Amino acid sequence: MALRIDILLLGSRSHCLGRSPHGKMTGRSIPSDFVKNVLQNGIGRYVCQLQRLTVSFCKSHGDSRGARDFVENHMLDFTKKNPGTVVYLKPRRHRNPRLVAEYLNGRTETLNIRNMPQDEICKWVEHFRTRSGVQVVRLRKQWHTETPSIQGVWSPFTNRDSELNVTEFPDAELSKAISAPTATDRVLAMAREIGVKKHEPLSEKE
Amino acid sequence: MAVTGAVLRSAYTQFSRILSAQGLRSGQKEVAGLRCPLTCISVHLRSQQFGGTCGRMFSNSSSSATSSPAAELSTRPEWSLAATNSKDIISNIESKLGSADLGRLFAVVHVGGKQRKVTSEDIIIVEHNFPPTVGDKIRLEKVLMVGSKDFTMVGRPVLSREQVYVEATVVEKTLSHFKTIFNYVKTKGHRKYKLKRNEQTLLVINNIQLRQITS
Repeated sequence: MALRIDILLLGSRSHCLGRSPHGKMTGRSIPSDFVKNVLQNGIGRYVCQLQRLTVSFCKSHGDSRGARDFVENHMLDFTKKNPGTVVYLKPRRHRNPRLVAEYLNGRTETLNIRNMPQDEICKWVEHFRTRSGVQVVRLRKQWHTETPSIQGVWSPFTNRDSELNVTEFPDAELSKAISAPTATDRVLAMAREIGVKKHEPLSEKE
Repeated sequence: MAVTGAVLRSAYTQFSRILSAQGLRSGQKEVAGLRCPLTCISVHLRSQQFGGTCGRMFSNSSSSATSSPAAELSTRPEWSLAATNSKDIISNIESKLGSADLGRLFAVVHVGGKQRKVTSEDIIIVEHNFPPTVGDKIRLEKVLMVGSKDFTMVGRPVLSREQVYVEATVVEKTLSHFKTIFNYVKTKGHRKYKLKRNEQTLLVINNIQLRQITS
């Protein structure tokens, strides 16, 4: 009863963000956003957005074998290649191994790495390294620009004679049929220029 | 009932008539003579900056006072680039290619199987396999068109490497949201449901430069 009142107070759509009535994954129901670059990253210098990586694993359980192998074999290479990222190891007994990636924009991504071989864990670590912290949503456009127009936005008056602004319509001169060479005439002239042979019409026998 | 200032014909037909003006075609031959055959076919001139006669393309002419603006478009003498000092215009543009006072340039770039209109500081997404990793500086080579506020260079089909330089940085490599692939045929018992994520690469365009060809 209390929940229903809360929903009514909040407004009609606020509780259904990301949810459609029948659970379908339509474009309208799943969250969407425009492309974002965190703080104009590549424009000056590129800065790796991964702030902190935590590898949580169990010391004994079989689920964590890949995680333990990763820690033994690949983790130090990763830390040397990425001095800007802090790597924490978190041994936690009797729990699933996880990768927790924290980004400079404050967001966190988690991945359960149980039963993964170490090379798969390496790929996921690389995936977390190359991401910015931006949430993965349906992208409305595959581009983003702050300056969409350089030559000026087109209007029907662009590249038109400005005399049309003071013309009274209907205009006798403008209403005349255009006597310039038609498209057909121009194509034939082009053909003559190139030297295309004229085909003779097929006879009935052929 | 008189309608003032309204454009009754579609602007597209008007524009295509302008482009198809006889002068522009002969102007193309002039351009091809000045540069290497693989580069731009036409230099579409937009303002008075690069040639006084060009500015008169869209203004009312004093010579033909009686004829209306829209009639006899393709035969008007001042729209013919061949009749004007096109070589001067083009050499004027060429001399300014390396300078910084061209302003902001746009380029139409072919990346990842798609063509995008691009300026500096803007972001594009390249889908699927794209080898360069995060932090790499890339030169985008397939440039089909470059334009500034005053002129456009159209490649045939692509502009030469010596003329255009487009640089970009790879900023992010992610996976897309889950996309549903659902194949269903009714009454045949055929249904396949799959969730798929494809690789995405975010490119930030750093700068677009036009350079003079030293030949």
